[in-house]
Amino acid sequence: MQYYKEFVEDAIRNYNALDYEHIDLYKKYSVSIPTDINMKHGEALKDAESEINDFVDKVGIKFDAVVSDSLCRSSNDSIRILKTGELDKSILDNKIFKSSEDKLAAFINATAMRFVLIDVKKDEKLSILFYANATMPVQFIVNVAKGAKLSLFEFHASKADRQIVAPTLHEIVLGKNAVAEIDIVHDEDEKTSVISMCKSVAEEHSRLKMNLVYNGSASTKSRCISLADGVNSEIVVNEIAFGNKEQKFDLYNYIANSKPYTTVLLESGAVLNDSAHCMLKGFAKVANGTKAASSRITERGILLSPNAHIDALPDMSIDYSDEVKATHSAATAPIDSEAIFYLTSRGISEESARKLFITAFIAKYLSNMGNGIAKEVAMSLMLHKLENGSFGNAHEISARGVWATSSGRR
Amino acid sequence: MILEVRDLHVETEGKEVLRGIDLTIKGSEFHVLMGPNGSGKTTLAKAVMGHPQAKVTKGDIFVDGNSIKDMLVNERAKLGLFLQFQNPIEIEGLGIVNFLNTAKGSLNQQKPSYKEFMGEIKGSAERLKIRDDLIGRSLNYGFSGGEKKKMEILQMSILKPKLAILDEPDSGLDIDAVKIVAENINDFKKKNDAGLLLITHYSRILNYMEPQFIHVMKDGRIVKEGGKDLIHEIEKEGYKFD
Repeated sequence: MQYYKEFVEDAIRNYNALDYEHIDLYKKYSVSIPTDINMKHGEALKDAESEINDFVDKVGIKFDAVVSDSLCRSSNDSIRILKTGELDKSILDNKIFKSSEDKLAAFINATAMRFVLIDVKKDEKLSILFYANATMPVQFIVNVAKGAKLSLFEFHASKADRQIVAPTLHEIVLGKNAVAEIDIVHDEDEKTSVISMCKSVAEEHSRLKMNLVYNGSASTKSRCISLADGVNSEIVVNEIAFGNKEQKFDLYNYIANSKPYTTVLLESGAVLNDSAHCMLKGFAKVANGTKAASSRITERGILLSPNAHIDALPDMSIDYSDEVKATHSAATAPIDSEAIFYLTSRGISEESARKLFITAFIAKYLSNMGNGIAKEVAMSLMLHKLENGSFGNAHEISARGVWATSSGRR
Repeated sequence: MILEVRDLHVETEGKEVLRGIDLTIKGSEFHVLMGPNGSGKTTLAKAVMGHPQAKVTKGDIFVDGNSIKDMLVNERAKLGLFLQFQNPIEIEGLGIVNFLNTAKGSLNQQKPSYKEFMGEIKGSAERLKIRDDLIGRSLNYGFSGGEKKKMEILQMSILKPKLAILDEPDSGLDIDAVKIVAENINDFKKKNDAGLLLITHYSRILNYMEPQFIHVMKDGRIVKEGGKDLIHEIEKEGYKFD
């Protein structure tokens, strides 16, 4: 146990493997993750299984797989959940998120006790619940085979009676001509800190869309690396954080065009109330020789309170210019008073107008979700937070009739 | 509805823009407000609707004999006032149908069935020659200037105010679109027996309409009033009034 504590402290307190973090300007833009973590590997919490089942009932979704400290199950052959000792050496040898790249990745690589292997050969629509009630690092390794198609919805939730960390590491590889949409929605407990590491590689002619929604957790530290590594590949990352109270979000994205005719787009947004703080850090790299590459970073934020704070840091490194399109923009502001005047002039009360404006801002990001269930869950959680200010407590989700899809309503 | 503006003085950003406006619009009367740039026409429209930056420093505004000077913007809308914006706001993510439905509910108007509501919106869009796909999009988002103006008229036809203030419904429109917008405003007025205050620089749109009262503003005051003949005078001489 002492080993873990030292490792965690080293990884979390002293991580600095990313180049940009050596630059003085960026050193202050970083959220600390608590280091006093009690690792509870394999130690089932009392009543944890029934707690998770209750949660699933309350949310009302029939997940294809459930991953937690005490309960792991999969009802779909494309999802396998393994423990450390059960992993093939070939999987470890082929990992794309190397420990040498980042100490947080190294931490999860070293401590992960569950591996969720998702292998898609044809067309699949899958949903997974990751439920943390103790600190338990998990890796999701997603392979979408040549020409295959995946729609994956991951719901990350937690319930903690003490401070815990929910560390996850995603490795996503899309083969030639593959298409994937991965929607990850976080609604974590107020005592949970999220570490979310992700690395995606799109091979030639493949298309990946990532939709990331951060609603709950005390603090969130995300590292998302997206590499358009094959000719004519495309990666689109949309992320939105909705924070209140003292919530903190440190959202780092590195997007890279490595080959000609590639497209990588990043849209980051944040809506913050109370004393919440969000850092939107988007870094784009357009490599040499990437003819007709397209790269775009857009960062947008709305501040609902004078104490809320957004740092938007778009950054681009362009090494090639032959037909390359590279743009970035950032804007943060309180709610537009002219927009409120417009809406109220139609009879809508000021309070409702503000809610309508915020909902519209969020909906703009969620509209990218092709998975109706994921979209409804994300919107429902955010509306719940907008109305009540609370997060991390599963509630009956307003389905509005979208449940008649392959995953079905339980 | 009777709208009365009495000795209205209004400041925006510390500068006096309106310097004693008197204007009365009764029932379904059709008034036109003309004047050069910067004369205060839009400020008057905003002041009547309750824009927070249009500060009333003297005088008052009455609807049916009651002061609305301290009334909230949405409460004025509930009385039956409507402002067509010169530069309508774009709100990405807010669907037009959702917005209209929310507005209709807020105005305490009886809500038709979804099918009837959509039929009403589509019918209005068709008459305004608004493309079908625009109805499914976010409010004014990515619309051309002309499409935004038409969308304002569509909102008016759906929300059915008692008195509509139309701030330059013709600016930025091509000649065919001006005619379409004018016909739709006439149609709305006739069907709803509503009052109109139309603000414009140019007489072009008035070729298709029958206003009863013309007011000319200059330097924050109404300097000339008359019937439709006044338009021809302005066309010939410009705004040469003191």
